[in-house]
Amino acid sequence: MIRFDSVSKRYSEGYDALNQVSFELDAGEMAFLTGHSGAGKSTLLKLIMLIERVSRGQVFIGNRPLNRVTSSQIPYLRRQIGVVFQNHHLLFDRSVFNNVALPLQISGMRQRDQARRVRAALDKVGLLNKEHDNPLSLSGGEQQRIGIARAVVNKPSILLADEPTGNLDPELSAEIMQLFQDFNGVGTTVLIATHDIALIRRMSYRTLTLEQGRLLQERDEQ
Amino acid sequence: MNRRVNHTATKKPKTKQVAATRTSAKLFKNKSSAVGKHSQYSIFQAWVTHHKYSCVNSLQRLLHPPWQSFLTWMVVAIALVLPLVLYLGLNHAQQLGSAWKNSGQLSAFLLHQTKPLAITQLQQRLSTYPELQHIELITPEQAKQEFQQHSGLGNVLQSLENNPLPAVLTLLPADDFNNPESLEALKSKLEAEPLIELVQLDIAWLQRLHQIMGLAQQLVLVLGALLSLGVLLVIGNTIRLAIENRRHEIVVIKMVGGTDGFVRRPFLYTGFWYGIGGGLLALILLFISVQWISDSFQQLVELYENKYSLTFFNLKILVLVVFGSGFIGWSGAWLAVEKHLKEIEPS
Repeated sequence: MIRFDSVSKRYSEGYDALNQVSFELDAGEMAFLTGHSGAGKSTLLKLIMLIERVSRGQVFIGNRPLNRVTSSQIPYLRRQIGVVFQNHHLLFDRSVFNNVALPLQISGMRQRDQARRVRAALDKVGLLNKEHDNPLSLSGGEQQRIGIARAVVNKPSILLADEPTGNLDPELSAEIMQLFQDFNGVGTTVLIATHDIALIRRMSYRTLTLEQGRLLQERDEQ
Repeated sequence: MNRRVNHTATKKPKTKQVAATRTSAKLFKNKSSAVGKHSQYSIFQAWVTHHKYSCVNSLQRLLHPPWQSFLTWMVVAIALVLPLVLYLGLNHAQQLGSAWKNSGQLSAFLLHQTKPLAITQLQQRLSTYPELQHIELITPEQAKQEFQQHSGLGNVLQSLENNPLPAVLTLLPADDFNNPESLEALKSKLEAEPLIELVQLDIAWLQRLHQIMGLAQQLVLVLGALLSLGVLLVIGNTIRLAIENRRHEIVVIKMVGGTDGFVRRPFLYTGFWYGIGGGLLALILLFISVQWISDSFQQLVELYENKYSLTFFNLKILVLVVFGSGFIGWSGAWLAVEKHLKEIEPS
């Protein structure tokens, strides 16, 4: 589903963020991406999102080479990928409902279908009763769950998360991770970037470790 | 334990493989596959829906609260009122001018010492001309008296033995012939009369008036163009600030798959509404101004014994002003959006 083929990314300042990175994530797989800050985790996610382009090598999403994707096609690619951010990127000028509905509004779904999908997604993250609230009135953990609901509302094939538990205490982190496991359980490919080693240890998933832009090791077992 | 991953990708069979292959096959099947079974709801309908939404939503944003928008509307309105007032004034001047245009007159100077009988015969002959509707004779004596009264050279004339002034026929052309070309033709025809020495056509001042009007018209156009450009830039700048204020929203929208068009739309409508609002406000200001000066205008016109009242623009021009302004606003927004939206990308 996600395949990196000798991918290098050098920023214009001459800084090598990724160096000859190769791996493949099967459809329906769940994996962690870890490493110190500055190791290239965010860059790797940005390459998948086409926020950045590779300097060398190839990235494939579902067998589609991303360097063939033109900039006008990028939005349609991003609609296939749900993303959860550390600072959740919610919009505080609208309700929880409208935050979650945003990807559906963008893809032009009919209103009543939107409502059904949004409520299903909110139900999944356990916040159906907050749909009319402003996200600003919610706790950090709740905001993160709204972010997750938005990421999955249009049923993407791939779910990426960039430090989704960065600001949360261990108990809330575990809840969030359980959500990711649930989505993985219904066939979504999940890749979670985190430096929370303790969290990774608790869960037995494949782990990709980056160090100074290189992919170091694969831990298949706990 | 630190083994480097070799360049060939490592595969790992999983139990979810079956479900996953299904998802994979679905991926990228078509652009709207994320919408899945809703794809019968066409992209066009979605596009129309978002246009409607952006149109209404951008207006709602401007009206809640309206004060900020009102200031922009006011700036636009004032910039539009100035050329509109000039245009309205010019319009009226042209209408008045066209009333005066039919006041072309001919003065036919007869040969010196033409006998009164011959003059009467000439008058009779001229009265058969279809080009003329009125003939008036000024005898040399009348001319002399008038000259003495108005020229201040009365004594000089007194000292002359003979009256040097010829008889003059003042000729008023028929309405159908009261235009520069026909008058010229009529002039030649009259000059062919043996008793008429000279025909003077007094339309030079009218031509000059028309020249001035033409100049004023161009001035209004230039001013209108400059101030429209001003409106364009003001709205463009307002939209630039709006884009800056909604930077985070734009980033999020782009991140979850919003196209440039989707991001652009609300701003274009915002510019449109700034233009429309400014245009409407300009008409209100103009209407108030016209009411204000209407009375003094009426008094002025009455001095010229003219039945004429100050009128407002007709509906066609009103609609044109409002939507023209809307179009300028939209264009200004377009400029701002093209320049600044590209700079805002997720990072």
